[in-house]
Amino acid sequence: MDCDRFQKLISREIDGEIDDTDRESLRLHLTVCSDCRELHRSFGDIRDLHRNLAAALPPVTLLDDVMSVAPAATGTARGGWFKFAVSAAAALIMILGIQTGAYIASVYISPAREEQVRILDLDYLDPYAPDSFGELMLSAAEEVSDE
Amino acid sequence: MTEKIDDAQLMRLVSGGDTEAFRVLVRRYQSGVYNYFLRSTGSVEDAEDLCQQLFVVLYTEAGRYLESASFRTYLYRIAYNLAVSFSRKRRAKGALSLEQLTSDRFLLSSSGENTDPAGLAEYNELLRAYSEALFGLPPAWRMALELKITEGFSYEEISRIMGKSVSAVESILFRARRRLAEELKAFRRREIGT
Repeated sequence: MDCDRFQKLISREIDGEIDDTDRESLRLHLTVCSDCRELHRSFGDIRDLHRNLAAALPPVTLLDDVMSVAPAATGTARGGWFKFAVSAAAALIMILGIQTGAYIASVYISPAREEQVRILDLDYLDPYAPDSFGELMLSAAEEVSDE
Repeated sequence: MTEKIDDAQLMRLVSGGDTEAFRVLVRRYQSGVYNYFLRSTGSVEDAEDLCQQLFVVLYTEAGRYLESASFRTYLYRIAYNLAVSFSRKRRAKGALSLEQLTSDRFLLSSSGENTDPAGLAEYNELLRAYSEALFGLPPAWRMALELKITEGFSYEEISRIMGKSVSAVESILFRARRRLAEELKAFRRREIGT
């Protein structure tokens, strides 16, 4: 029996991400496999336990705290950007010492990356516009950070 | 009036500097993201701090949100990034103790399905064991469980939030559950032994 495959199906079933065909084949498997039946019960218990963890109320002052900071932060956003750009520029210099400018250009402004951003619909998450100086700095800083 | 407006419209108003629209958004999501940060960090103070950071970023960067994208996914993507960044700094600073992470004040429910005191106490012990096992998981696994079980995001949405493929999300959730199942099995064995 291919229990590995069915164990993954159990996880998907618990998550409500299983199609009808797989659900039926899992149902049949569970009638003959006690190990998978136990895992199915156990994964269900985990879901229930997780849902029963206490939910806390956020602090009553949260809204006021945010409102006292957020509008003012809009005006200083550029200052924060400038500080970040200086730090990121230092990181970029380190990278340039190791890699050539051509390599950086091919990696950070590659069509593949733009395609990935487009497919994932995540361009709105990038803090800087595509191909901007800020984006190049950010990518360089992330590269250094990952290393 | 703004209470009935959908998230995308509110964000448009916020990007124009409408603080009332922003108040509505904060009220709408503060509870969910606060608990998300609480489960991610294990600390009330850090959860409050991250929550504030999240909403400040949301306000200052409101113009970057595109209405074609789900606001909830967008919000939790920022929340996830903040939590990941926090856990990196925490790792460098030193982790919280298990006692701090599983403190009664924010981790244990008093409910469950038991109504008798003995059953309730037993269930709370099980919940405690579960929360200990949960905080023993890598932060990304814990966050994936939170996004799926508590927030009810689909695999596709979680993949956008975490910046991973759908199959990677599926794999993380499976491995997280298997680890938790092993821990709970060991806990039950210890309980029977005592």
